[in-house]
Amino acid sequence: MSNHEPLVFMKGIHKWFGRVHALQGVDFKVFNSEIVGLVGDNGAGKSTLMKVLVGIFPPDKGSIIINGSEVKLKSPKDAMKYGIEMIHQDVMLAPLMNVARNIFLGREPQKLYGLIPMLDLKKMRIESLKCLKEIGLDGINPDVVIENLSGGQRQGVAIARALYFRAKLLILDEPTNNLSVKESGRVLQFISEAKNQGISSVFITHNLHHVHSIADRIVVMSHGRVVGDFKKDETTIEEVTKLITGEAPPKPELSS
Amino acid sequence: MKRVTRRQAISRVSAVGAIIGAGVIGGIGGYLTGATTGGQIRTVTETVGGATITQTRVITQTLAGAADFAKGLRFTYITHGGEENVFWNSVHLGMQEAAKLTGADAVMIRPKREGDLAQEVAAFESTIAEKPDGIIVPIAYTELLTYVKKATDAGIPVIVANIDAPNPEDRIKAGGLSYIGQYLEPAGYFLAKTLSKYFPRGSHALILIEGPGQVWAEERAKGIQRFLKEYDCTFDRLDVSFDLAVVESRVSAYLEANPQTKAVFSVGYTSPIAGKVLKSKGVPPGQVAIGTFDIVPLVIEWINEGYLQVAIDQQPYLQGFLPVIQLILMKKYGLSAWDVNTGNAVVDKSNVSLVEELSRKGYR
Amino acid sequence: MLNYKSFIVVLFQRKEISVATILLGTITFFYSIQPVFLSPSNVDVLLRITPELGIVALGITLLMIGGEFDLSVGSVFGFIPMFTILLIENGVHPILAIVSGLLLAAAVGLVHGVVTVKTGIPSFITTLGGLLIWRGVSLAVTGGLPKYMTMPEEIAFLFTGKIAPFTHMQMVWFFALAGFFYYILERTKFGNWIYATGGKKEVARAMGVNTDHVKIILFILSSLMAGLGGIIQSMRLGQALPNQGDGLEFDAIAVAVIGGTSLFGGSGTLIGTVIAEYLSRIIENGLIIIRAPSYYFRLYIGLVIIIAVTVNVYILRRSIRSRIES
Repeated sequence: MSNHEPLVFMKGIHKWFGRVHALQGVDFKVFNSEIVGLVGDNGAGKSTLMKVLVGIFPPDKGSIIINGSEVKLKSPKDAMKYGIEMIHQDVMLAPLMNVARNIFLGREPQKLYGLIPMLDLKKMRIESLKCLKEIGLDGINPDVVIENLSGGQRQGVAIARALYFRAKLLILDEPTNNLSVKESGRVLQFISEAKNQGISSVFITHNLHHVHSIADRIVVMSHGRVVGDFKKDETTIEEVTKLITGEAPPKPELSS
Repeated sequence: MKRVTRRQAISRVSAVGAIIGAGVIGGIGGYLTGATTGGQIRTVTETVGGATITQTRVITQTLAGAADFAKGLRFTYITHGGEENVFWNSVHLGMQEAAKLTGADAVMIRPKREGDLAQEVAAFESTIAEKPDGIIVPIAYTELLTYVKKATDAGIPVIVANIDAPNPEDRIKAGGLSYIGQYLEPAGYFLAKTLSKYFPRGSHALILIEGPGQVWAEERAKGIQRFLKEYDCTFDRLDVSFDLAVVESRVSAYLEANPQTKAVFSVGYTSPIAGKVLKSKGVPPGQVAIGTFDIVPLVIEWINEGYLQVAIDQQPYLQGFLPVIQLILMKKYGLSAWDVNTGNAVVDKSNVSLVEELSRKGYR
Repeated sequence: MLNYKSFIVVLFQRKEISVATILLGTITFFYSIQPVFLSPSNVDVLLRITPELGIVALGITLLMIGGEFDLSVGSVFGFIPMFTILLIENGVHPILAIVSGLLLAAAVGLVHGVVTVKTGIPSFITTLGGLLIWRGVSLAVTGGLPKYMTMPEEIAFLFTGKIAPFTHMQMVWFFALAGFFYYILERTKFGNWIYATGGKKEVARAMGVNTDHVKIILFILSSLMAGLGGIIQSMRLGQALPNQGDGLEFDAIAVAVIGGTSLFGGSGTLIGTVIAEYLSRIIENGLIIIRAPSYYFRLYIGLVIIIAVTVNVYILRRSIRSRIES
């Protein structure tokens, strides 16, 4: 049981899409250096909740508190300023551009030649290599075009990009869905590596084995509500599964 | 740096090979093409198309061997008539037959788009660089006179056909040695006068302008308008193109809005479409007089139907045939060129069947 | 030795190689049939007429890399010089008239851009509307008659004057603009945004790029280049014709594609466009020089498109394999 302030506290979040009440008063916390597994059936609201956290949707009710102060997130760029980065399911990389250009997209380093601004391609190359090395991907050439990389490598590049830009919280939406066993293992490794560097992660998944292997906490959602919030050793895969499918009633909320 | 794998090396070598190969193949191809087009029989299939009528004619040309009169002489006909302009196919035929008869080599350059001046100017300049033995060109735009002068200065004789410069003096000054074609403004007057048998004085008329702004269209329109004014008629100009579908829809709209129209003229060959429009409206032939220039299948059809009363033929075959002959004679015997009025031949119900026969063969 | 080798490797992996190869092949083909093809006067003709159309192709290339199309460039090409002449006829100073014409071109691009981006209507359709509207305005205003251009010597020289053997001002404009756009596309932040916006718009947006702004700017550039090209052609010919530039949009897009730019966005090359534009004019010119019937032009260009794109794909696949191995 930690007494620290949570890194992120989403308090009483409601969200409507037309008449659909997608999020019904959700409380969600993430602490420093923590890996949270966010699980639930399709339509439970996991992605929606994270999209609110990342600034894609504004909450209709409720607040987001980062490091103790309430914030309003109007766009992903706002979230990025607070160090929250999302690694989307379809990796947010431009397939026809190379690794270096993708890593620095939107945050390109420039050099001035006299009065003429130019992309600092050299710096982009060097820094890309550095940032890929940090998560063990130093085999990748920054000039390689994204569409020539494997699925796992692409996820790796996206994560490396987030880490490079000093993300404090990574949100990964179904990161291992389309990957082979070996590549999924690599991605989970990246996430653990990140934790060792003090970076927290929330990862949304259907794969409870993955969750059990690296998550510190497991949060279960169903029909727009949190129905379970456990530390890893406090529960079993069967119990979590039952919660997801609705066979077991929601547990009372545990505070930490 | 990077180690070169065997595969990389192979791909590099093949890329170099590809570029060199392209150059070599290009050269060989060119050589072969040049060598084999002399003394061969070539079959040219031309499709004469309008929006409503399509005919295919097969013309067999013998490029060399039939006659040696003008062997080795090369002529280029530069025209503004786009590929969908049926009139120019007769000119082309005249030119080709003159070439066939004499053993000369004649080529016609037509732009992709009717009246495209930029393309025509580019073609003209390329032709001057190629230095043929003679150039034939209609002055569709007065700018072309500059290039006529350029060609003349470069020692290439130029004959103007089909459309003269608005002021023939300018053409002579630029070096155009003669004009072979219809005298446009008088032709317009003649058409209107000939058609006036079929509509009363003081009527309202419609004039279709297939090439707004182009010299030939404006000159003929001037002639038509001159007569109509003498005949106390009012008239409207309507800009169209040689695209028959466009003409049909615009004429239809106009006649709906102006049912008092008693005569329809064309500076080109599209006014017969008015006959189609009238027929579809149930108007009997002869109620509205229609007159046009040039013989194309469309014209023949509507004379036969009775809606088209008069067509003025400028005999495009001659405009293709005679310039080539003149250039050859000038080259061989030092003769000078001479102006030819290729005529105001009237085609109407009385002679349409004869003309139809020849038209099918592409001669009229 | 190592540097020389890497230079060759890089050279042959570039998209422009296929069109450069075809260019070389075509030149040798025409030359071997008719050496007059490379005579000074003919070369001069080629260099003189290509730039005004090439400038339009440059604008379209950037827009296509950004993922959009502009079918109105031909109409704008015809309309802007018409407008400029109208101003001059009404007493406006020539330089001011030209600047106004260019501003109008930019405004047209702005309209296309804003409508496309804000309403979500595909650019194909909005600019198709532009094609009809601006051509229609052109014809309506002039009654279908050509307008003659009277321009003071100095100004005409600025756009079309001859400054050295084989070198005319329009060529200078063409290469300067090509160089400038190359710089923007390959060496600035904005260029990176263009690639991302055209390659995958959602990605660019997720990374904070304002794709709406990027696209609007590209539409403005495309129309601006069309206007500039039209003004240059009108100055060269001394008049603005109502049907000037008719069909130019397809030629420009074909040139971009032959040069190596993708129809789907996100990938392209300005160098390729420049080479392909010369290739296009060379084919036209060459067919006249060897006295082939001009009907063959369309056939040849169609073949070239297919060959160029096929070779592009082939070379791309080879370079992918060799890159992954490095």
